[in-house]
Amino acid sequence: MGRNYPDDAIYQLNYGRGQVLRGDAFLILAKAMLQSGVGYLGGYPGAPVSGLYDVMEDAYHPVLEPLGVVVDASANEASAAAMLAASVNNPIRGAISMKVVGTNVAADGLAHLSASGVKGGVVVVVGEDYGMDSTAVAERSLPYAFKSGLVCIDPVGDPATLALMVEEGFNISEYSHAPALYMLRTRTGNLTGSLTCKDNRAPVISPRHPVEAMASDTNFFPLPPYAFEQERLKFTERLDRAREYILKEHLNRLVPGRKPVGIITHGLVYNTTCRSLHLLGEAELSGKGTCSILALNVVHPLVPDEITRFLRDKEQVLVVEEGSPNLLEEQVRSIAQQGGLSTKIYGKDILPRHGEYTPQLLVPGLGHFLADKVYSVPEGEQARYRVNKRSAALAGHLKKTASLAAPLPIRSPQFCAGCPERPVFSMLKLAERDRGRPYYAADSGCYAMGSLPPFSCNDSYTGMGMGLATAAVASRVSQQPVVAFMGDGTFWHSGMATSVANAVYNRQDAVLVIFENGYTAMTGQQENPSTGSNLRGEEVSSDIVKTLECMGVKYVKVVDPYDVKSSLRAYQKAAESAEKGPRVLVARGECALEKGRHRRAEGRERLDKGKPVVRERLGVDAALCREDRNCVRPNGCPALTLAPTPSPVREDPVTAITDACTGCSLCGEMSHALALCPAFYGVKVAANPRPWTRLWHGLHHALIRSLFRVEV
Amino acid sequence: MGGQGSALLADWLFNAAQQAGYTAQTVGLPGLSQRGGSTSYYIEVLLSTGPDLPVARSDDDDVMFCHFPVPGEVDIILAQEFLELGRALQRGFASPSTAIIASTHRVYSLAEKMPESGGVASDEDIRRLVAELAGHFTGFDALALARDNGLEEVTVNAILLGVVSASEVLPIGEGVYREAIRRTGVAVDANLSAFDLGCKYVTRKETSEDRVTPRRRDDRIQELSAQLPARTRRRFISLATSEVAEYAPQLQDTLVEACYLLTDYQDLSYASNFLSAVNVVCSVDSRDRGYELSRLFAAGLASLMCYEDVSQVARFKTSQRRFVGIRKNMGIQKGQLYEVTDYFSPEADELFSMLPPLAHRAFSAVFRGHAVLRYRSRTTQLPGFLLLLMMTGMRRWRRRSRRYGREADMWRSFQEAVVEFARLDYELGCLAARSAQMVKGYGAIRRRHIEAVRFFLEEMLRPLAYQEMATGTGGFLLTILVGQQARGLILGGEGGLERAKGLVAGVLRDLHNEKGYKAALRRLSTTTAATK
Repeated sequence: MGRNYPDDAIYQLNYGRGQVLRGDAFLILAKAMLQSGVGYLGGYPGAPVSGLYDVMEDAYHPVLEPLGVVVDASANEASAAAMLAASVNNPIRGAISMKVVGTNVAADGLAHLSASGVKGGVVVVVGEDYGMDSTAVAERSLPYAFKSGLVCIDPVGDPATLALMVEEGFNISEYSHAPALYMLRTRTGNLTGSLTCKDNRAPVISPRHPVEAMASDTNFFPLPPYAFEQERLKFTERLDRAREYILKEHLNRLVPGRKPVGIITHGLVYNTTCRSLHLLGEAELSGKGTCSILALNVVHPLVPDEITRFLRDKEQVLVVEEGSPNLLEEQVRSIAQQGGLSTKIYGKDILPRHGEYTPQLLVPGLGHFLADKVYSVPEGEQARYRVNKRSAALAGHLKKTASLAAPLPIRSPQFCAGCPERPVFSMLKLAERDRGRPYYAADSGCYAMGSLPPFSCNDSYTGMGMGLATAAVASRVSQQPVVAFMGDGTFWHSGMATSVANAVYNRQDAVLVIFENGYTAMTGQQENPSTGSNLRGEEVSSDIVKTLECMGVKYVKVVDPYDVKSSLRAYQKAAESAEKGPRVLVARGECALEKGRHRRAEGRERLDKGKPVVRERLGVDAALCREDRNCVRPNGCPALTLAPTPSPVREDPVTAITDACTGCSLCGEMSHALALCPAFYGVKVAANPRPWTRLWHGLHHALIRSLFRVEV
Repeated sequence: MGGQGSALLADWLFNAAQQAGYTAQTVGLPGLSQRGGSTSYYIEVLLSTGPDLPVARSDDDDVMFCHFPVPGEVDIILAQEFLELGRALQRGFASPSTAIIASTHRVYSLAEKMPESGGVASDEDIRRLVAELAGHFTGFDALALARDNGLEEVTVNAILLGVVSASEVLPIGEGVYREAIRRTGVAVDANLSAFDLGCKYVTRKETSEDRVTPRRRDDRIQELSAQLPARTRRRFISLATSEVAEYAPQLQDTLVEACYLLTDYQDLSYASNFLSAVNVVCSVDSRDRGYELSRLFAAGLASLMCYEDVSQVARFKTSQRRFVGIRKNMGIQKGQLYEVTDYFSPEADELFSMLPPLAHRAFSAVFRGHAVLRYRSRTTQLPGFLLLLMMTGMRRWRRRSRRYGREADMWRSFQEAVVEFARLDYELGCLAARSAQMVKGYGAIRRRHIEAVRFFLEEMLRPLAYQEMATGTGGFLLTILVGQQARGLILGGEGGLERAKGLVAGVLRDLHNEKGYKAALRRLSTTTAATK
């Protein structure tokens, strides 16, 4: 179940006024939500908001339930967004979380919600993942909020502001009746810091204080004829009230400077800007220095008065806005134009149009702005020299270090040791040897790593739950057979409708492999309907196989992924089956990380009780390994690695197996299937063996010892 | 690197800093690190605001921590694996004022493990980066240190924390670090003792790497002979001392090891056959090249002569040292039982090629030679053990077996090729001598490799060499360049041989006149420079 917070960490959520909480951003956000009297929480895991989800889970029984906070592990982002309907007519505050691509899944709900408007404050925590390697940049929050008329918060990256902006998020949403997006960047999400707490507020409406009936008002149905009036409210009244609130509460941060030069920036980029200015000798670590800085915590809506006031006494202003489209810059330009201001405004004409604004990018960018725009005057000579020197120094240093050695081998993510998904890809590689390479349709989850070497099983990927559907045309126009992948998490998220129902209904000719490992593993082993229990620990029994059969899938076969031979047979049968429509293999095996946790805990317990515990592992006889590494390529297990050869007459390293091995025996299975070598062996070690086991082994060992003088 | 407890290490440092009364911030990027990808944790601790940086107390202008490590501005780099240190350095984080504390052990990335040979990043590259960039470098194999002290591999992070504490790179007392470990509450005892190891390492510099001390040859010979059956010991010693002594000193270590392997593999006469073969190559070798050719040839020939036939495999699988090794590697303690299952999948031919040619021919008329016999043997139990022991017996008539005939032909032609090429050019000879190392794997894979080696010698090096003599401007530079590249391609994995064939065919086409020769030479030297 993801990262488990220690009890004393979770306990901090009960802290009252003045106490200091130490922890990561997720704890801090959760604490801020409780301080705001949040009534319900929901969401779907994904980097970087999974952590928030984990806090919700770990804090449910000790903190949230007693306080009367409703918590749901939403089936997907759409159901999370739908939860927010509770706040449309009722004074109950709610927060949901999803990663930025999830806003697309939630779009229908969020769009209509922003039309209706809300009575209770609503905060949608969005994992903004720009520049990170954990997902593609398929969506940006600001343009999303822009077109839907949502308030959009992008907090400066320090714990106090993170917390404050959550509270203000609820307030501004309530004050303006517009839902608020709250951008949580991957870096901010994973920061650790401390927060001075306030008291928690119990929600006004909750299971502890239920209402007789929910308030309702047809005027808020986002359908004609009401919709046209709502459109007016959305883009005039609500956003205006939001602007009013931003000014009233000084939500944006203004750092005065010594010169008539300004920088307008936002959120985390403000931290980097401060540091870059400091490196250029232009500011203290606090950002105070030559330039005035307007650091926006709310990036939508902008407040024309605030911007105009900032621009008025400036000669030059640089808008440091990360990524494109550069909506902030263009709004600032238009505000200046409307205000008839002559301030020179720079932005993407100086700074890169795309990419995460790291110090490597900002130091030269700001350096260029200062040296060539600000200090271009004769009296700026000295400063110009300093700025140029410092920004050149950084560039030079980077150039030097890059040139010192050849690029080092990359370390791409890979399936864990003992993962039940890897053997399926190994099996497919075996099948390819006599069947040729099929068309592989990938989907979202750990198994998407099957697209990386050594397997490279990916010909199409668009989004979550869409894998099989991406091959809808390929199934008909290509001679390759189609093989699609889907995890249990993805199946319950949306895959069963988007891909499976679609394939059944359109009789799509394909083999679908469903990895049932019992968790939404990629985001940190959160529960899903296949786990058997929900976030609250209540028993739930959703069954993929039954579901598939009810949906009209004719061929469903459950296979043990570690038994490569039989899963290969099942796959071949599925591939050759004359059955029209999708044939489904369900590869059932618990996520190795979770299994490991259980096993270790269980093992310790049994050992203490003196009960038998059996540990399994594989090994390689280094003396028999002939270094061809053909065992690595169709396997790719992190525990299968290289070691120096023991032979004094050979050069190349041999393969070896590290302690990370879980004894899943895939190495042995593959060396058998591919007729590789006799070097692999499996070992079963029994602690506290039962007497008769001891006797049986003793007998064999004694015989071998006495007959052949070998002590096995 | 994912799964090495980097998050925990970061937590310890963060808590320690806070308890020492400093404001601090950690930014971790777990991302996909859980899946073994590269990852980094970045910690900023505000030690002093410095004279030029008055820190105002009010909320608005508090110090802004940065979420990115700034190249050249990082004071301490902790690396739990050596390649990842290299990566951090290559990304420019270090500067001459940076203190680097790293474990020098390697965890190979998949990219390094994929090719059939080579592919592993050289530690030298990383050490060069360190030498160029590190202010103060503490590097040692923390993994080995942990293992030697019976600690889990993940405790490397606590060892590094110990080094941080003892080398006083931060104004934080040892006690505070310990408290941080206790407060975090993860495997406290193990981590505390690992922490102590780290401290001790600094104070006593008890390094766990480069411990190997050069041993005297005679001791080694004694050591080796002790592992042989009593009857052959004395004769082995005389062979390894007197006969080997007739060879160049640069060769003797290799020859002693080889002779032991061969005696253990078959018998003493087998070893002396080997020596006489080496003798032939020595005659075309030269002292001023340090007898490199002979050494390469000797190593290659020995490894060919100890080919793993079924009886050799069975012999090792049932040997005492194997079970000792397993018990050690698997950490099997007293009172624990263990059971070994061996995975065998020999081709039928590997089995009955142990018979003399005639019987073999009779058999192969009946059986399909490449059919694979798959079975698992419970080698720690009597039946499994017995079956293997029976195969071990076949060792007696090994030298009359069909398999031996084949293998012997192979290494004879290998020897001839080495001599032939060495006569043409020394480097060329060495290239040919190294080709024996290209023979890898078992069954079908080994056949593929043997064929590749034959092709490499007969249909790549030979035509290239003679063509270069005809049209070249003296020397065999081109042949050697192409040879090295072809070797790399062949060992690169699937389809390598085909790519190599393509390369060679292309060059041979150009080699019709001096102009084409020069062009080819230019092309190849640039590509080799690029790959270097």
